[in-house]
Amino acid sequence: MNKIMNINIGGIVFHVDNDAYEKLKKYLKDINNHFKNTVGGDEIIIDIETRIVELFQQKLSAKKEVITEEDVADVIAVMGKPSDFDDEDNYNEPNIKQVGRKRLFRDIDDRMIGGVCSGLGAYFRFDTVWFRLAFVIATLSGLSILAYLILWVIIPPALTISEKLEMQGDPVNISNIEKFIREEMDGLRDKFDDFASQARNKFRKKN
Amino acid sequence: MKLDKINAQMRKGVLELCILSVIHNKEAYTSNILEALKNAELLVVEGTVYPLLTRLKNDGLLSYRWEESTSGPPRKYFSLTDAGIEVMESLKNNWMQLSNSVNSLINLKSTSDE
Repeated sequence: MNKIMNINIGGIVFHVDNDAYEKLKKYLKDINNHFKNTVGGDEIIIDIETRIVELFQQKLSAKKEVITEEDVADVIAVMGKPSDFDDEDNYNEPNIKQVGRKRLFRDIDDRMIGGVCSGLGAYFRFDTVWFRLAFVIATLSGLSILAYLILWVIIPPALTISEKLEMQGDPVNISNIEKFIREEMDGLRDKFDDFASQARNKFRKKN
Repeated sequence: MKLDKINAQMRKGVLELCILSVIHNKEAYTSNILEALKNAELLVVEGTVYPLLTRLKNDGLLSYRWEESTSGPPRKYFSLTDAGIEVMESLKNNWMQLSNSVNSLINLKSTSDE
């Protein structure tokens, strides 16, 4: 003896026994989890449910009114498990974690002379001040000026946004570029505000 | 890489072309498409097709209309858009070239120069 319940898939009512219900519930949950982050995922889920309805209907007749666990297993075999129908390139890229490649650049936005120390600071995730201090102290021995000049020549400056992101070790993707541009714009606005307030002050002094 | 994985990859690559061709021949509802692909032994599990159909539709290659069914839920009937026909032709040419190249490379007599 097995308890029977009614379920509604795609607007159609089916009688299913308890084991079938549990199995189907788990399968649909897996499908949901698989597609919930995919573009058009809701539509895919509805299409799959609609197909399951069709396959169930083929299994039922006047003599057979209840969907059993075996029927559900058959349907799953036809449809396949979510792991079987992975759409290879996945099309939900934002979920893929990229590890950014890190490269050594001169940071020409934060420079005293050539941006060598600030570039080294970004590369080694170390406060730039210590590199500057080390170079200044080493100047006393006379070697570091030459070393600095060589580094200045051989390390390329970070000119483009993607180079600047690589310098920081951030992956180059749309959201990071957007973030970077937003920060740049904010910086620009701050500078402009400074300039405006200075100009105002000067203007006041004149009067 | 396992052998069935390589085989599955090969099939997957031509699935778009096959789906577009099936729909091009005749406006088709999902089960028709599935049946045609299964008969051609191109499909292992049906679930693969749904994400593809949705993507082709979202890319503007397919359009569909609903049709009521007496036996079950309403059915989606797919047809190709102009862009879809264009993509299908281009994929088809590519396939012809590819199959010729591969056949000559692996020393099989290609069917086209019989």
